[in-house]
Amino acid sequence: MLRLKALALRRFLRSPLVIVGEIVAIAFATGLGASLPQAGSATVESLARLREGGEMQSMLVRVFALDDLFHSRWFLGLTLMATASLWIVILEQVRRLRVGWTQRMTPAHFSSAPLRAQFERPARGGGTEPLVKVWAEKRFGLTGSVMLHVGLMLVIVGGACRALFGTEAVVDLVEGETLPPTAAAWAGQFSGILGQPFRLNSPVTMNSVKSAHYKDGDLRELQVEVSVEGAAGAEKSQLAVNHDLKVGGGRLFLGSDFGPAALLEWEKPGVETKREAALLAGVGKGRYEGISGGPEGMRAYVRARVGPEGQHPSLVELRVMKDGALLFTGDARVGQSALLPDGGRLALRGTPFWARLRGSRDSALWLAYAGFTLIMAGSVIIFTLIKLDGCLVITPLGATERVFLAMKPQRFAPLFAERFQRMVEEEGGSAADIAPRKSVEGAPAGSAASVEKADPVGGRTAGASVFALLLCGLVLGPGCQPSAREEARGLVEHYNQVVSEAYRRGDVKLIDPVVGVKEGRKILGLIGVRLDLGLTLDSELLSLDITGVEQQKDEMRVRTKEQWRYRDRKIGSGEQVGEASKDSYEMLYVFKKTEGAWLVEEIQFTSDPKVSRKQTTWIAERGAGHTTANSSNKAEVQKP
Amino acid sequence: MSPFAWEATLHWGAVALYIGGVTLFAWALIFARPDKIRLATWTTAAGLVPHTIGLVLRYVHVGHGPYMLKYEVLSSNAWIAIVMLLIFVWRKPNWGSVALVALPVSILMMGFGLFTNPEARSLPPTLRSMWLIFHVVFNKLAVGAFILALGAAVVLLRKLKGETGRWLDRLPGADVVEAYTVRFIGFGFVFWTTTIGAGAIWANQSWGRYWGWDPIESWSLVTWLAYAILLHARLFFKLGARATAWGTIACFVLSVLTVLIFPFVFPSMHSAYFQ
Repeated sequence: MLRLKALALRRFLRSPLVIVGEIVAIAFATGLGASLPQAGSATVESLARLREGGEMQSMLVRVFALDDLFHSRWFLGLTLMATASLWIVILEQVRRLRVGWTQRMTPAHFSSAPLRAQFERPARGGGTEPLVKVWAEKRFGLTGSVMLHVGLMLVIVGGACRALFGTEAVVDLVEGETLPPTAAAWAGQFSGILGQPFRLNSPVTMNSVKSAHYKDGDLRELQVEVSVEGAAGAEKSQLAVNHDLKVGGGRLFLGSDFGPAALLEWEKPGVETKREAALLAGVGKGRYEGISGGPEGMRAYVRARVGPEGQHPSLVELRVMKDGALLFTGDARVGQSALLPDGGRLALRGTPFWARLRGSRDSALWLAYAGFTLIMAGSVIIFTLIKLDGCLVITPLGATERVFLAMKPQRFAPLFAERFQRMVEEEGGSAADIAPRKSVEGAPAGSAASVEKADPVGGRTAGASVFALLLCGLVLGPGCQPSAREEARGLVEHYNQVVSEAYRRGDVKLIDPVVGVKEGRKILGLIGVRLDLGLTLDSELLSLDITGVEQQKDEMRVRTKEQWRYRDRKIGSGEQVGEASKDSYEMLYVFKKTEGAWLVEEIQFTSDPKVSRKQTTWIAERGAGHTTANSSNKAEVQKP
Repeated sequence: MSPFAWEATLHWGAVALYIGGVTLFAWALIFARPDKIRLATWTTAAGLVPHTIGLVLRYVHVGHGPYMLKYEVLSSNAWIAIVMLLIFVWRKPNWGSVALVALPVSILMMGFGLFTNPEARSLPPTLRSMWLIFHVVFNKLAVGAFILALGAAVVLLRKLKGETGRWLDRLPGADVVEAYTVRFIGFGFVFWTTTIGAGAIWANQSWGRYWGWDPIESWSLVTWLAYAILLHARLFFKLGARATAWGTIACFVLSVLTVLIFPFVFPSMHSAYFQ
């Protein structure tokens, strides 16, 4: 009974419909997972949008784990089912290969060969016995499909072993720092379900980081020297991007995450000195930025440049903030300190480099690599080495002899027709002696009808439609994108966040990724004026409505209604200067796509702004006459 | 003249010659002038000269292969497709009609690339790998093979529609055209497989993992699976020629989306290229 059930299950898993269904389902699921934000790689915001995008959507995400699809049970189940089918197919193919490889062909095997001819010719030899010649070419071609499917199985098994027992870890090290041989020393661990946390067998010290840069400052090459403690002492080794290092316990990799680290000391009377390495990350063109958290909610925003030869920065740009107020802004050299309110100091003690190391242990890697090799070799063999069986029988008939010539290519029989015709002619026959190639339903080959009739279902259009629908489903199903209005809202919100922060920190460089040249100049001026007056602008977006979106190829015009709260603050103390203002605007943002990014090219008021305070701060500071911001001096209305 | 002005001039020169080539192919086939096929082939081959020089100049100018910008990627894809087309037409002159699909597709790719931003971008350190060359070259070969499969599929559909004409009659029967369509798919499948394999090995060298479900990684798997579905459907269900032709076209669209469109749509580590 059990055997019967197993047989039925095997027949089910081997059925063509199930196999194709499994591939379609895996393809669809993969497309879906590739199109939706996935936990572990997508941003928190995009995941939240996916999870909370309406009742139906939330339910679907929850039930089908669409936010972590590749680790969901149903995807795992589907993969297992496909693996079972694959296993059955492999067993069958191996058996067929054994039979096909050792099979002794006889002329009887060629009675229905797709290419065959029979004719009589004048006797060429004097023999009386029939001459039978059967041959096989490119027999190795039979192995292609088996190789490909075995390779797939190895990759799946390798992947499963990795998912179960493999482990990855990541850590950021500063020059001179030693990584102890413990799992806890790593900042992040990503182990398989049954995997042990990653740890090295001996301490590893990062001695130095060497980088080379292009003229524009972008990173060109990165290399680190490490010392690995061993029985015979420390052994120096090099590790570079794309060049891993095998060490006891696993392999180490170097990505391109690197930069200078600002070694900062926060000193405050009555509070223990806090030492921290702020790791500055690359933001492009040789610029590196990072943040350090100080005592009592203070934060230092640090920026530095790395020279083209990869020299350590001798100067860093510092901004210290607390509760949105700018307490200090200026440059600091190694050994210098920034004076903070309440007698505190922030000292820069050094700028060594840091680099991110990844550790990985995957004992089944060889399986996956063997699998890749077999898949590639198998697919090459399938389409280039086509096994061909041939048969020639010459039967003497006195003064004449009857010739039977046949060819059975494993696949692509029509492509061998020319060669077969040449063989027939060499044997004394002609094209007319060649039996018409038969399609499944018997129409002569070479005609459109023959190919059409080869469709057993009789519904080739239906088949094509189903196939096209499947592919459309693959593409369109998973590929649904947020609407233009949502995209516009995201762009405006991001722009406002960045520009507000730039005003708050008095840091005009922050706006580079979001504004074009024209709007950038305007903001540069507005922030500069405030800095000259020792002020920064603290703003808060209270509401944002998108009232219209027009999108052309590389331009998007977004109309909004916005409410803001503003106040100016004194640099150093954070004290509010002048009155706060609650403003309402109707705006038009003109975004232009530049090198793949939407930049704000221009911002206009579409109606007079409603500004609650009566005078702009710097005018008040200068003691100038009262001026109400209006649409004629729009640039001075504090719209970030 | 700036390096880009030279490159652009050479590229436009190549486009002009390719247009001349496709016109000659059309003339030869529509007006049944088989003697013009050779001329069409030579004219197209002549276009390869400025095109090749343009690509070499680009390499010298930016210091890396055609991996980064739309302009570089599309131009080199077109180059590969045209070289593959010429090799095929050289060996099978009767198949000139495939050029009527493959050449315009290649010209469109080049033209589109020429209107995009040509500003050179530096190669990040992770892209400085031997595996990148395998990954990219095999990807281009795959695109070239899929373009030829597309051309053969279009010819096959016309034949199946019962259209006749001297140039269509010069081609072999629909069963042979179908076999060639599948063979081109087969070559494309082999190249695409190698692209994925090389990418996986490279990813393992760079990050310590060979597969990370990155959106473009995943879409390339979907494309591979789509071609696998087509090949299995032919094998299991004896898919008809018309279905095979439409399947080929649909798979081509999917491969183009994966290579040229999705890197813009989905945030991916592949988004650094083709900007």
